[in-house]
Amino acid sequence: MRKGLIFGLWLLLLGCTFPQDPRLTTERVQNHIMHVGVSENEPWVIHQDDGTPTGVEVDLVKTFADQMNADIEWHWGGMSEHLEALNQFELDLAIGGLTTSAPGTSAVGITQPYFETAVVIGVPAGIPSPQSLSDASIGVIRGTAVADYVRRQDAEPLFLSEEESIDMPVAVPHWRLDDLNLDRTEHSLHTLKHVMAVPPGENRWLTELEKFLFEQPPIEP
Amino acid sequence: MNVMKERQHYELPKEQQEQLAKAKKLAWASIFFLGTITVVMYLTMGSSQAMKTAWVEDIWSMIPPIVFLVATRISDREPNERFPYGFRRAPSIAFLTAATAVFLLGIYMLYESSRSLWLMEHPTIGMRTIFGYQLWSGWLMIAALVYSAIPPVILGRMKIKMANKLHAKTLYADAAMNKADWSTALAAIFGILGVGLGFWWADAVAAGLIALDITRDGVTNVRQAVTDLLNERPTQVDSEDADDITQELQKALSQNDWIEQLKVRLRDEGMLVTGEIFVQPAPNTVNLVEKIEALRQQAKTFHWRVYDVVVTAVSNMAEGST
Repeated sequence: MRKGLIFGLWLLLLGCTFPQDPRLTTERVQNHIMHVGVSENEPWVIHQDDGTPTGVEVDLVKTFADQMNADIEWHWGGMSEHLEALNQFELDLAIGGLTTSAPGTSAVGITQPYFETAVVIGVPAGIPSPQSLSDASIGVIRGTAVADYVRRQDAEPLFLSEEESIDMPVAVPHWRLDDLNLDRTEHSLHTLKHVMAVPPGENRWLTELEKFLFEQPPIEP
Repeated sequence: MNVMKERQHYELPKEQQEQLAKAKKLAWASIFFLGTITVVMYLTMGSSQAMKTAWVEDIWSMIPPIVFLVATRISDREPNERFPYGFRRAPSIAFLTAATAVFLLGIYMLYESSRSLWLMEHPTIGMRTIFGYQLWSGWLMIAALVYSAIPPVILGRMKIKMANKLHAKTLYADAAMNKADWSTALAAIFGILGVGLGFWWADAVAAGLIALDITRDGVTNVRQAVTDLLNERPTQVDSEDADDITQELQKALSQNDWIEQLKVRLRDEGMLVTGEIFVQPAPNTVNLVEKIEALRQQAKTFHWRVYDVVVTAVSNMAEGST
């Protein structure tokens, strides 16, 4: 009796796609429309003058939509709004430089990290790399959310504004080094893991997205 | 002058000592395997409520063997002036505390899974990268659950044999819970497969069932520990039925000619049986003290479990005062 049950289950699993979506998101999106929430965050999502998005994550989502043979409807807004919308099954996907350390990600579905940002210390030409970080003064561009990583190394964050010219060691994501003309030092403060958000429990949808992201070539923001 | 007459120290006979040594080894093995199971489950459980509940149950399962190891050491300590009765009650106290904790834990996990259902929380189970390959996390969870069922079931079977030989009730309770672990794993597996098939509620329902099981374990063990501390008459290892030892001891001791009537008042103390024996000697019995001491010795050698029975003589068994 027990063997029969197990065999039956195995047949059932073989026959169906596994896992499935409780709310059939994949079926609804495939060959139709994908509703994507976008939140401005360079270089992941950039709001262009004509209102359309571009950026690293936008490109990825466009390719994914092609694979799904679906048109995209972009919905601009703040990330917490998008996460709430995902929870209420109003959107299929939300992007905007979301990382695993962002708040509000526990209630929705999150992909495996598809990219990692190393928060590093960069120095402009001519400035030496700090020997020890203890009690050192490290520049932090206000609003980039790296101050805590500086503090954890016993260093003191010194807040700079975006426009200032840099003449001291600064804590930045590794892909901004070239942009800001900085040389990378050996100090790495933290690793940020980039993810995309989907509605909770839509496991087939999530695994399709994750498989897609896994197959993509390495990203260079 | 030392006015307290402390109980005599107790030595298990050889055969029981060997069994006990084996039981201790099994307890260590249990702790080790449950430790590995706890780690494996923690690494794979993700957002599955059922796995989380099963994980909690596995952590709790480490407590009875730990209690067993610590308690056998404490209960063996020699009685002293401060504790003239010795420490044979220590295991029951520890077990009562642990059982109460697990009961409350079960109630809490039941609340958690009901809340999940009520709030219609859809568990998200995506992919996981293992050694460069992508795999659905659900398969990893199921593998962990299968592993979690195997050592406890095997160890449980072995421990039950030991428990019967040693008449160790707490060991028996622990072993019975281990043996039933396969049903917890199965429930959680069905929960995850259910989610995979699109039934979001399967996980919460499985979690609820496991929580009920935990609660029931708590209740059973609390009852066991309480009846024990209430000095219940000696019972079988696996049930609340009376143990034969009470009747058998009374019968064996009553055989002596000089005894008109004999009654016993016994209780379990861990693996041992102790208590009082009331003797109504025949009229004009001589050398009563020697006869009483001989009776005490007879009781001691009747069964290895009998420990420190006190014999007292009464003039009339029917009298209410004794």
